[in-house]
Amino acid sequence: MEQPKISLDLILANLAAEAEKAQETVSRAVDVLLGPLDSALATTPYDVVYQEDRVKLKHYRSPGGVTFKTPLLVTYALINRETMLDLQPDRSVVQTFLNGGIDLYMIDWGYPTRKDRFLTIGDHVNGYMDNIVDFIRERTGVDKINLMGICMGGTFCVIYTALHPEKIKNLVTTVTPTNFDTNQGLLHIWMRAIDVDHLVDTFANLPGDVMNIGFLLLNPARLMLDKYVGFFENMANKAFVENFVRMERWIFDSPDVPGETFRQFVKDLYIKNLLIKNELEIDGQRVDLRRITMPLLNFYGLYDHLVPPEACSLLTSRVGSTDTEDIALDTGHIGIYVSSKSQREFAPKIIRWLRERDGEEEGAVAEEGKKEEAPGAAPPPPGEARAASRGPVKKGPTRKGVPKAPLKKIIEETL
Amino acid sequence: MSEAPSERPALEKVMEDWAAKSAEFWKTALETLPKAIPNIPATEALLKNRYLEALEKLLKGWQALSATMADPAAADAVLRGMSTVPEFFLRLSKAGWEASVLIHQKALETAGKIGQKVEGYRFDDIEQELLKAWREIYEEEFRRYFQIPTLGLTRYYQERLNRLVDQWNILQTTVSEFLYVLYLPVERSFQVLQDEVEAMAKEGRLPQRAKDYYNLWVKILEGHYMTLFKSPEYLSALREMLKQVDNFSVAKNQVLQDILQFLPVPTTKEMDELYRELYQLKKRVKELEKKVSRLEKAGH
Repeated sequence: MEQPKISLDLILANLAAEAEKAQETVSRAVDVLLGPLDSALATTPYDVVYQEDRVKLKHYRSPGGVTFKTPLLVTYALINRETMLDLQPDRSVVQTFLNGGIDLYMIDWGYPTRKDRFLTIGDHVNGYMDNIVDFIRERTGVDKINLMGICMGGTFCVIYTALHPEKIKNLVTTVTPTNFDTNQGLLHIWMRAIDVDHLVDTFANLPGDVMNIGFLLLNPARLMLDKYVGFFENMANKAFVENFVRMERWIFDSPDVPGETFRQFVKDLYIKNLLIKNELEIDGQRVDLRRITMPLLNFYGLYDHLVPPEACSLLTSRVGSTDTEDIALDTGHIGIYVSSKSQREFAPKIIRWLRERDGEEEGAVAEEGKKEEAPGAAPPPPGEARAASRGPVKKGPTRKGVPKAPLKKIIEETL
Repeated sequence: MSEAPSERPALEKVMEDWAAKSAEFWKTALETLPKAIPNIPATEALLKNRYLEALEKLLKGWQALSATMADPAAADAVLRGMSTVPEFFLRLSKAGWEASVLIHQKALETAGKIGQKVEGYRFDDIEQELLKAWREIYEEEFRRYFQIPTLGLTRYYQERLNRLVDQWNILQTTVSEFLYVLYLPVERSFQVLQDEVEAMAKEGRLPQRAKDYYNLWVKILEGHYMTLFKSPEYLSALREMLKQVDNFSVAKNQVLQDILQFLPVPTTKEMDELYRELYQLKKRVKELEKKVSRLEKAGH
């Protein structure tokens, strides 16, 4: 038998050195963990300017003043909290937007209780969201606002915009699932396997902790083990510990999801995939993506394990708009908002994209919206919609079908 | 059991004497009783008379019994009857013992099926086989005891309580099965790690840092989990787990509902009805508000 070439002495010496290092780390970590830690999140000042039931509308105070004509409404998912966009001062999408001169509003969905169990997608989209959009329009004196959606909130924004195109000037979707017929993400496979009726009938609302267990099981080796090994190795580093704790606080701050909304989301979207097929009905109205004729910017993460690229990338080819752009970032579902790299790529790109479209006349888009709003009028087929919107609306080259903008270029332009 | 013939006459004589003396005693007691009661008020007397009447009847009963026992033929009959008491107890205990043996026999038969469920000399999936066997045995054998029809006024409460215990038992098994499925990648990953380390050792490129081994293992483990999570077996286990968690929650809530009904608090069912009405009402009010607002704007 061949003798393995093992330098046993060296391995043992390394083990002893590592044990000593671990001991040293632990002794220093005690000082860090027992000392004061700044783990506060979402510290950017804001005012609650509107409230309906549990839902609040935050309006962020802009230190440098607002330079945009059109306000931006950010709609987060019903899963986890919108505080992720303002995790810490140096990794805050909110602060980047404010520094860029955006008049920023954000929906805080609050914590649903059992009494919210009967709320449907329609109640969120045609109820809360529509009332909030009307409130902002009235408050700021504009006919249309910019709308940005995150994950499930992005799906809500797509549905909303298709139902109320006359109120939206530009649409930004980020890690937004619209095509659910994919096996790329485990979530898509699991959602089709569970008995959602049984689950909702039993729990009323989907408990946040049940969802958290599900998310942890997506990758237990990394999320339940490796992550904490990493924490152990770095727990003598105060800044690391503060960031880690901040992230933990955000991740496990999970409100329950209203039962009927969850049931509808799973059945109509995850199982039947109705949205991308233009067959989804909300409060008796069909959601036709071809009614989305305003500019659309669609972000997704190439390594997103929750909403894989395949779930996001179809949207731009199904809407009626000719001014669309897909940006696939080299990151995951959360990294797109919080990684230091994304801080340079993501929010600045949105600011620049919105600014390019902020000064445009609304005539053509508004006319288009009115035309589609005519009672009984069938929405134009995608080809016609594109043809109709050409010219006055899009001054620059149409991005549809154009290869994705290289990231390097985006960074250079943004910085 | 035979009796000594010489003992019987003596016992009979003793019984006769005792019965005669006893009858005499009760007669005397009966005659002397009214004299012991002094003059008392009318209502109280009436009350006392009821007690006296009852006492008198009792004493007369004892007297009659004693008189009867004084008769040698009657005493003989009683003694004969008494001799059958051990036989009565013997038959009673025999019936009880047979019932107990039957239950034990059933239990042993049930336990014996555990052996039949596991294949002999197969240790590859021994834990999983054991879990499956236990589940089958529980569902086929033990579960029936929780499904015995309940009777009487509290039958529905008992039924719900039985269901809760039953669902709890099923949940335990299901959770064990699910955790076993989750444990499989850990077991396999260690085997693969061992193989890889062996291969690296042969090639002389063995990692020198413990962290390198850990990184290698986590990577293998992650891969195994990804494969597992997409498998139909895992999806089936997940579905079953969620189903049994739901079933247990429903059973638990029903029992809690029963308890809550005795307390001055509304039950979940009542609150849900209220929430539904509130939801519908709010929705209608909001729609009406919007209509009014539109009409007002149109009016201006």
